[in-house]
Amino acid sequence: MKKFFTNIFYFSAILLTINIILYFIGKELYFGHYADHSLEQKAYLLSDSHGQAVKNFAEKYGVHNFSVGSDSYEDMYRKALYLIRNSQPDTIYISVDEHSLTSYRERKNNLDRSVIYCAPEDLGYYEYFKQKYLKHYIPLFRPEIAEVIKIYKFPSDKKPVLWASRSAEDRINRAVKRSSVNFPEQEQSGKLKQSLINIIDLCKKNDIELIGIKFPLTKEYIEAAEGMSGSADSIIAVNGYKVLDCTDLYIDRPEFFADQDHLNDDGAKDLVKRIFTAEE
Amino acid sequence: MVFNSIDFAVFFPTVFILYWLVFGRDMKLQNVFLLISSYAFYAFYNWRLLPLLFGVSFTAYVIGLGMERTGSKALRGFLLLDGIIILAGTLAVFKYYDFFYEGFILPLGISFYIFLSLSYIIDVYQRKLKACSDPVDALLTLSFFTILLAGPIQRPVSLLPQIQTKRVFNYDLAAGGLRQILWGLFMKMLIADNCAVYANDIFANTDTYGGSTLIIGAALYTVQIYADFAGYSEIAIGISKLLGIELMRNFAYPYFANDIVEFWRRWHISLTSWFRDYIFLPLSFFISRRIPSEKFLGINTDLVIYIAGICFTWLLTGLWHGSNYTFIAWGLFHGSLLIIYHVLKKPRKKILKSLHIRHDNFILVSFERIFTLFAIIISWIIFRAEDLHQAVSYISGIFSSSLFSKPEFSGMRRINPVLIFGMIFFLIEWFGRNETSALEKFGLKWKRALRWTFYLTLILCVYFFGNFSSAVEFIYFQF
Repeated sequence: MKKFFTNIFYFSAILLTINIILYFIGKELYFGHYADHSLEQKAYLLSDSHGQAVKNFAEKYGVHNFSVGSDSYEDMYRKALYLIRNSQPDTIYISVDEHSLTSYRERKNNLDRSVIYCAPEDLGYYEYFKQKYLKHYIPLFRPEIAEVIKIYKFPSDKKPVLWASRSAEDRINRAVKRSSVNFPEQEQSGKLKQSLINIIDLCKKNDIELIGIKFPLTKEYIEAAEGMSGSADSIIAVNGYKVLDCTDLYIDRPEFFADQDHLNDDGAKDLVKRIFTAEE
Repeated sequence: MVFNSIDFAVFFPTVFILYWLVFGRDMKLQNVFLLISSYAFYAFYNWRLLPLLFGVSFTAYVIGLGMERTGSKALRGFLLLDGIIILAGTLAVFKYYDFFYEGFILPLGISFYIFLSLSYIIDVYQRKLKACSDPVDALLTLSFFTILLAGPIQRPVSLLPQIQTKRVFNYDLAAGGLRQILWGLFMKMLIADNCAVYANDIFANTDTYGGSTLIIGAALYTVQIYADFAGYSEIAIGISKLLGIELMRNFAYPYFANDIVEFWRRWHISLTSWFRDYIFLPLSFFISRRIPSEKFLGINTDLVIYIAGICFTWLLTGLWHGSNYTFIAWGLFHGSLLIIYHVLKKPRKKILKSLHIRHDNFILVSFERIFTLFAIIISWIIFRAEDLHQAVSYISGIFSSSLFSKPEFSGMRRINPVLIFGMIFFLIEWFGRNETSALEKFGLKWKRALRWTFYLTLILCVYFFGNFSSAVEFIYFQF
């Protein structure tokens, strides 16, 4: 048995070395931006990539952008809990785009990363230990690190093409493709709907104003996704909260978009100016 | 708790250390600890189903004890019949209730642990095994966690004596177990789960894809189901070896089989041998006693017995997999192949002899292997299809003019790594085909540094190229 344990020890030492290397690579590549946040503001924006496109342009209006691409309502709920525990927010802006309640968003999320905002009671002690410590310090248990390393090693050499400079046919094709990804079926995700309701309850309980935002979309995308409704906005509205519907705000301004459903910097700057000066 | 989860990576090392270092000196304590661990393992999946597992194994234990203690042959038979009705009835209720009531949840591993319990009472009845009086040993034999969820359907006749004997740590056995675990993880997470991505897409869009794509989908599923189930078995056997317990072999490179009979000697050995020993042979013996003449309806009696036995056994084998007509069709398809093979065996020999072709002629063997593999691929289509209509539509889609069109399916550009790893996988399997596990002796003569580099490479390949989606469960968990 001694020989077995000795060999296991040496082999584990090699694995540990690989693990340490992966840990430091993963920490930078996988968590780097996800963990970046400030708790100094009183208002926060929770969203997925639609809100992430706004970058930090809303900071001057006192709104900290806490959005990350692929964040689902489950991730946002964790963040909302974290904000309430660690700061005193008075307003939370939350995206209520049509795709926010789809099975696509339920599958593609950041639960793996948003766990850093959880407390033990949110997950249960074993799950908390597993997610926050085991998976965090043993990246060999976290295959997402392998994915980011692969992407980092083989970055795409394509330069981003401005949405406005694409041909009409290309825009339509991209919009249709994206829409079919965002809306694999009509049914709502029960899990995400419950998380949104949890966020609403949390805001009510803590006297936080919740404001829904429907981010602007291109004309092509609106047409491609016609009839696809997630109804997240109506859930917010039914609970007495305001919804800022900006869906067709830039319907004739393709120069404000990076792609079919994301704003570029010019669009984002214009949007925050319109929303937050109006709010003020 | 599945073998390829973080939970198991926490659970098993803890069990292993306590088992050998804390309880290692006392076999009784070791067994109590293993039994508690087995229940914890099952409860982690769904603790509400634990009473079912306990109930099944306890019933088998009590019936076994009853048969052992009574001197009356009639009472033994009565107890056996009772046991079979209770155990098979429990299985039937849980397994086939959704024929009538959809949405009924099938307890994980029920087909496996009930078959294990059935083996136990039948073996005790036939006096192949002495009933175990120690409840811990008996319950552990019937609920041992490594075989609980998807087999191998270990025979108590070989497992119980190992449970009742003090285990001594064996370095070679444990090291071999580790290699099998590594190979099993490679098979499951890198080969099976990556093939699943494409196979699922193609099977979900049968009507939109052409014949060439459909055949690729079927081939990918053929690889997937083997790597998935054989991978699971490798891990289960490897883990047991680490605990000093040797399980039966469940796969023996089935896709390298020359014919369908050989395939079934190599595929899911624990199940096929179970059906052979407890259904086919007793049934054939029963029929043969009732047909004394050499001919029955003008047909050779041996052939009649074989056909009846095969049809019934394969009907049950199909049904064992679940309440879907596709499984019954799959079972009968294989039964038919076996009967055709049996009928053509003698004429084939005669033809080869008259043509002066040796039975091990390379071209002949290659042709037979390809033909067997093709028949198996077709059978997996029936097995994988949602219903018989999809199976027919899939197979007719293959045999259409689009078979010669350029294959096209979503994600086709990303399939190259899967093909490369698939080839590496089958090469390693081919070179290791004379061993019980492909990695059993692979590289053992290399220097340690080189061997460890090879193992690390396998681990990193799984890490970087494996599919870790939680949606990809072990296929045989559904049975």
